[in-house]
Order: sequence, then structure tokens, then C-alpha cells
Amino acid sequence: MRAVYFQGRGLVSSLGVNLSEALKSLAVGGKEPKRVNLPGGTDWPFYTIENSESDWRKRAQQLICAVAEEAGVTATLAKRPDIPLFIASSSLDIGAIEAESGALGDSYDFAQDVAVWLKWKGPVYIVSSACTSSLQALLTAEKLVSSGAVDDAVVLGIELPNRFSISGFASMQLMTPGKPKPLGAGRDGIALGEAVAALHLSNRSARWRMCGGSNIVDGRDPTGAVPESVARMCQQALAASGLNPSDIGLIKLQAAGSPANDVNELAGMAAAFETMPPLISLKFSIGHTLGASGAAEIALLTACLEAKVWPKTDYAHDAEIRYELAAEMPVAPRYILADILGFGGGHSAVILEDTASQLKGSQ
Amino acid sequence: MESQANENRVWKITGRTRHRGGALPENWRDLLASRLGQRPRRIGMLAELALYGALDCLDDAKEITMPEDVVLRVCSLQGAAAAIAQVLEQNQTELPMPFSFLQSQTSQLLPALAAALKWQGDAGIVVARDRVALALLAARQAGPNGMLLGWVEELPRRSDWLRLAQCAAQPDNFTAAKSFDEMTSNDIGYWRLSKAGIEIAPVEN
Repeated sequence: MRAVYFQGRGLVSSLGVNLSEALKSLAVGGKEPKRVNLPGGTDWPFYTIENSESDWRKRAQQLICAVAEEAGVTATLAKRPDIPLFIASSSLDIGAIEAESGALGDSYDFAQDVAVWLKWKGPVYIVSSACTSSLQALLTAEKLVSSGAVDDAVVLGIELPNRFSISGFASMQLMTPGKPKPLGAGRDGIALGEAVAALHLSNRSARWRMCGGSNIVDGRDPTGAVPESVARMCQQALAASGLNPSDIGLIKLQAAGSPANDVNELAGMAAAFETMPPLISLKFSIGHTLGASGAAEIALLTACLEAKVWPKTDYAHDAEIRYELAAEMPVAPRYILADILGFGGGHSAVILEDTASQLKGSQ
Repeated sequence: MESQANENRVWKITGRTRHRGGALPENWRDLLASRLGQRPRRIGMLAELALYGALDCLDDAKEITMPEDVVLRVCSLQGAAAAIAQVLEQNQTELPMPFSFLQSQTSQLLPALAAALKWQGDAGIVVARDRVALALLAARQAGPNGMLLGWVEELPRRSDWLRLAQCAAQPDNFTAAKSFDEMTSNDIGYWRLSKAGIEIAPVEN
């Protein structure tokens, strides 16, 4: 099996039109979510990308093409036109269907739009397994590259504005009326956000190596995390990566600010890690970007670690949860576990290696 | 470079939905309720269809549940279309009903399947129009205990499933598969992953 690296990455989010802008924004405290009004008179926080295009599909095209460019995908396609593309999304183009009052097509129509926008010639797959979509897509892409079936693969996490997701989560009473507080005292729900993220995987050496991961669907709770499966997800990801719990120097949590799910996630982590590594959540900074969240948060986290920009929170942590988010960036973590949990009983994790870290065995 | 994982691995088709390629029985929901011991509650039409087909396929494979490391992949081009349309309609004037929203999430069929099988494992919704490509993708990811693959749509109703497990047999008459229908025909008993794609061999007599 071959090593697999992130050859490129890109992100457009509420923090900015690319990763460089996102880091600048984070360095000065990040951005506040906007408000979205829904029929019936309620309004909810939403982490919105600043873009003035009013046509949903034109806006989507602009954002997706910009992210592909940032990740270097456009240049790679000129040399390797048959790369597989994995589009990871929960809501696909439901925002366009709402805006156009159009008929429902089939879900692959959106994949064909994206392929046309990017002039994509290789195979295109949609992974739509709710919040874990991006990490599932990454695991699939990693398998193809590590096995030698392909030399390159691209994961595109796409979650763009729509009332469908916001109203749905609001109807289930999962949304905070304010700002999410992952692991925070008085946390009262999640806030959604939009993002487009690209991760370009290849067998060519680069700073970030994807070591392995795991994906577990557990039907015992169709809307949230089961501690036992969180622990097993970690154990399987470590085994797939040939690592021990003590090798992990940082965990990027799902932690979205849910009263129950944050507790369940940490209970599972505590079962898998005798000594808990430093923790980070990015939901306070960009919201929960659903199917795009795995790719979006990995793109942002790796950029933060390279630039030594550490997202800050402004709320008190919940004393009843034994663990807090790290106030400062850990010193050169070599191995990082990133997980996403969610709707559909999904529990997914990947482990990344920062090959620039010189602290092998000393964490 | 072509040192592909699972290359030359032989998979035996151990189970398939018995109505495959044809219409579901008129009383499929009664049959599902009978199989489960109760009518499924509030999981939505798509998940019910998935359950019916997957359980029928596993019954054919004589499996009550599956080994932990089976890869479960489901494709649905339309997804939970009826529930999505209902939520879009409800959204015109108010928040949707919570169960309507849950049922509009195609991925909700995965926990429904996992719960019915009392199984936890690697399951996902992966969609493409090219069914051969989807089967090939799953075959590249599957471990020794194989895969459970489903294609589920609400209109027209269909729920076609295949269960494949790795086997030691090495039939000597593999040929390149020309189409998905050929790959899944009742005459075919084995798949083998090759550099070019999936090869097939007939059921042993």
C-alpha cells in the first residue's frame, strides 16, 4: 500500500473567500454568524459566505471553481484528466430548487453541473451520508490512492445555503438561537454554516499524510452519537493507521454545541484515550457545515497549524464535562485525529500526520 | 502504477433480492412487517424499501446479520423524494414536521438497516448513474467478509440488493463484464477484480 498525502486544499467559508482570508479573520477573533428568517416568524444564526451573486447556481459555480483553483486541482487536471471526484454533501442543490421553485430532479444532476463547471472528465461520485459525507469520501479516495488504483483523487465538500436544512434542524429543536458553544456551559444547540472545501489526495509526497480512518454507522441513535461507537471509531482508526492512542497529539472534535451529543462524544473519547490529547472544535468558528464539515474542518485545521493561528472561544467551559478545548495550540502535534459524528448514526474519523513535525515519540 | 488492493480477489454472490430487476410484490410492506415482527414506524418509504430488499437479500444468503467488516453501500438517485417534496411544501409556511425532515434525509435508511440487522459497520450512501463504477468502487474497499450493495428508488419502486463475500474458489472461466445487468444476472456466481474492472464467472452447476 502506498502513502497518501494532501497535495492541495482549499476552503471558502464564513471566515473568508480562501484559507488565507480565513486565517486573517481567525487571528482577530473570527466572524459572527448572520441571521436567517424562516416562514412562521423564527430566525436562526447561519455562518454565511460573503458573496453578492444572487443566483444560487452561479454563486455555487463561482465558489466551487475558486476552491478548486485554490487547491491546485485545476492545474492537476490539465496533466491528469481522469482523476476521480467525490462530491460530499448533505443538501446538494436543494437551495437552488427552493429558489427556483423547480421540480426535484435526481441527486446526480448536481454532480453533472459541478463536473461541467470544473470541466471534469474523470468519474464523479456523490457521497451523501449526512454529516460524515466528507470523511467517508476521504476514506474512499484514500483507499483508491493507497491501493494504486489511481494516483490522485479529489474530495469536494459542498454545503450551500438553503432553508431546508435550517428549518429541519430547527424543527428538531437542535439549533441554538445564538452562537454555538462546543463543550461550553449552557450550550444550547448547533448553528449551521455554509462552506465549500477541496482536498486533493495523491501518492506524491507533501506535508500532510493521511494515515487511515474508520466509519461506523450505529442504528441505536439515528440522530446522534453513541459513546461505545465513538470509542470503537477511534480504536479502528488507530488500528488502520498503525498507531497507539498515545501517538495522537491533537483531536479535532465534532463538538457542535449540542447539550447531549458533546457529552456522548467525550465519553467515547475518554474510553479510547487513557490520557486525553488536546482538543479543538471548529464549529464555533465556521458553524456546522454538515456534509462539507469533514473536509472544511481539515482544510482549516491544517492551515491553522501551519500558520500557528489558534481559534479562540469566548465562553466558559462546562465543568461537568471533564475536558476543555485547548486554549493554546499544542506544540507540533505529529498525529491528529479528526472526527465527525452525526445524523444517520454516523461516526467517522481520519488520522493525519504532520510530516514536518520533529516530535516523533515525544508527545 | 497498478498494484491495486483486492486485485484478483474473487467474490461469490451469496445472496440477491429474489425479485431483482422486476416489480416488488404487491404486498411487500406486509411481507416486511412479517419479517420484522412489526410494521416499521416513521422511517419513511425509502428506508422501508431498503429494509425490504436488504433483508430479502440476506435471507437468500442465509444470514441473519452480517460480520462487522462488511462494507454496506446504497445508491439512490432520487433519494427520499416524497419526503423531500413534503418538507419543501411545509417550508412555505412554517417549520416542517420533525419526522418529515428526518424521513427526507436519504442517509436515514442506513441506521434503519443497521438497527434491523443489529449491526454496526461501514455504511454509506454513494451515488452515480454508472452502476458498474459503483460496484467497482465498493469492491476496492471491501474486506474478506465482502459487501452488501443496494439500489433503492421510490418511483418506480425498486430495491435491488446483492451480497458478495470473498471466496477461495478460483473459477477458470472469468470474462470481462459488459454491463451491470450481466454482472447481476442469476446465471453469474462470481466477480473478480481486475485491472480493467470487474470480471464475472457463471454459477457452478
